[in-house]
Amino acid sequence: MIGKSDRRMKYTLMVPVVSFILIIAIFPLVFSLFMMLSQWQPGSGGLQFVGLKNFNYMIHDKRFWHALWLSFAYVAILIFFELTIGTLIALVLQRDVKGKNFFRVTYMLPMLLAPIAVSYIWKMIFDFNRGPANHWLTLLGLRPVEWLSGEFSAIISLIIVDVWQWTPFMILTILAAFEALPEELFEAAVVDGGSPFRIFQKITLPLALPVIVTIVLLRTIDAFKVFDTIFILTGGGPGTATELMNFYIYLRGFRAFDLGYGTAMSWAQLIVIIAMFMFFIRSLKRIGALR
Amino acid sequence: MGTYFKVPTLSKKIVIYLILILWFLFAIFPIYWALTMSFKDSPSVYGKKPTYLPFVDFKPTRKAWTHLIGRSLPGEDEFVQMPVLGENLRYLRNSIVVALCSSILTVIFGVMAGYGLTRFEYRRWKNDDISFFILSQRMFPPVALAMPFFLLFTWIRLIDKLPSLIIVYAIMNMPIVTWIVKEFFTDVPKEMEEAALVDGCTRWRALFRIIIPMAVPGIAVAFLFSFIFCWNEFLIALTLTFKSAKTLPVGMSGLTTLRGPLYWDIAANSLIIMIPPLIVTIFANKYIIRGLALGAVKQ
Repeated sequence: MIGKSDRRMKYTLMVPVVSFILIIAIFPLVFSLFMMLSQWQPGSGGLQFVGLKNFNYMIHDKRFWHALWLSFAYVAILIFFELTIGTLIALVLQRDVKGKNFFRVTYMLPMLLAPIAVSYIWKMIFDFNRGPANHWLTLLGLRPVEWLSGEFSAIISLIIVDVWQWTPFMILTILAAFEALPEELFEAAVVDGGSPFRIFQKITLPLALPVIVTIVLLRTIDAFKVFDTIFILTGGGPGTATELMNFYIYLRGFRAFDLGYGTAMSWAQLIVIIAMFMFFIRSLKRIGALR
Repeated sequence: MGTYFKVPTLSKKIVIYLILILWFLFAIFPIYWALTMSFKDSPSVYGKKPTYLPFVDFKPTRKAWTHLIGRSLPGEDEFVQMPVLGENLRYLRNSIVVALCSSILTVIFGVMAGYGLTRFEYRRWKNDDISFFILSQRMFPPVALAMPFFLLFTWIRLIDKLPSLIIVYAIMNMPIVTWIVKEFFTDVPKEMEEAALVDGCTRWRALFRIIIPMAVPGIAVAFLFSFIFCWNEFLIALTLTFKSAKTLPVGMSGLTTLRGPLYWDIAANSLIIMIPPLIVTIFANKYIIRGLALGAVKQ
């Protein structure tokens, strides 16, 4: 059935796409493998091969380990809150509530806004003297908090902003997963006298779990990429309290112009994340949560 | 809708709406805060406590919005224009050009790959492998790509020029765009195309006359996703531009060190960046939700 012109079309369609990706994305990737073994020479404008020096330095670099540890803590807390809130609200929205579409659309708003603009707005909200966040705390009889300049509160502030912006992704995708389940199942369960909690535990959760796992994986990949909010809200500070991996890589790569070391660190980070994913996926498959 | 989905008792109803309204307030408050802030003036911002309601708490002024177009109110000190939108709106123009060109490029590639993957069988590479290859581009953190791209574009003298941003964004959006377009192409019934082929239509003609028109919603969703991503992107733009090719987010990120915190100006500027996504959300929310569901649920 496939004629000659069809075959020509088949390759005319795919060859440009694949070669575009190969040239534009794969080249930098392969090139970065060379970069991580090199050092940028300021002035001469070239790269000099230095072998494993960057990795040797990395092992003894306390700031690197701090950033790596902090990134994992940040992502873990984030995912916990976003998943819990997201599932809860998706469950509520799955019901027959009035204004369902209104809530869906308003919940979606934060997700599509530029992180830079959002960060500035939150910076105003977290302002120590004039921000509404502290105003409410004092109304509740609590002490005002140094939101962005306390060592612990700074990272909490970043997490709040991320939860604000990205929980909608969890809500909408998990809701879509719930709505894809056959309605008859729920009706049958109600006829059998199941309570809402048991229905969630026995039907909704197990059936939607593979999708939820995928959503969490996608969100985790993106959560590690956090950069914009740190850049505007804390600048990595106070000290190194909010210096997450990507921000530290940026500082070393583009502020200190240590491109070789920056590349080495991003590869190290990538490998750690992929290893973690493979571990998770394997253990999820073992307990049967993922096909 | 059946019995499970109905909320039976009043107390449960109250709990459910309480949850929904609380999150609604949380989600909407920062946007509201920026909007009211952009109409404030120093007395209402630097007062004893924050003010929330226009006309009740504070008197709105047009100050920030007047500054935004590079003028100052009568009786005010001469105003130094904030370079957020760039000289002659340069950053604004850059943002629009980059987002438009890059999205068009990505959508063209996405349509090609999407059609190829749904209608043909590639024996040598396997369709699944090609899909995975395109999707895997999403894994790499932008900062890891930024460094080699920086050197690459420095060497070929494209650094601080718009084409470099267009190309990099096109690559970064390829996975999601291809994915969405592909899903919509799968939904177009094959019979329609085959009927056209029997009538003596060539495949190319069928693609342009039948498949693409039927998948317009999908292509629009893909375009919107890509556009918003380009519009919001910061890290790549920050590292690949210094002066003439700066986009809005990069222009805005310079605000902090400029002068003291002129909150009303900052708020007005953030709103300018937020307007296109807000418009898209309000008018195309159905499609966005469908796109999200496709991107996550069908994998």
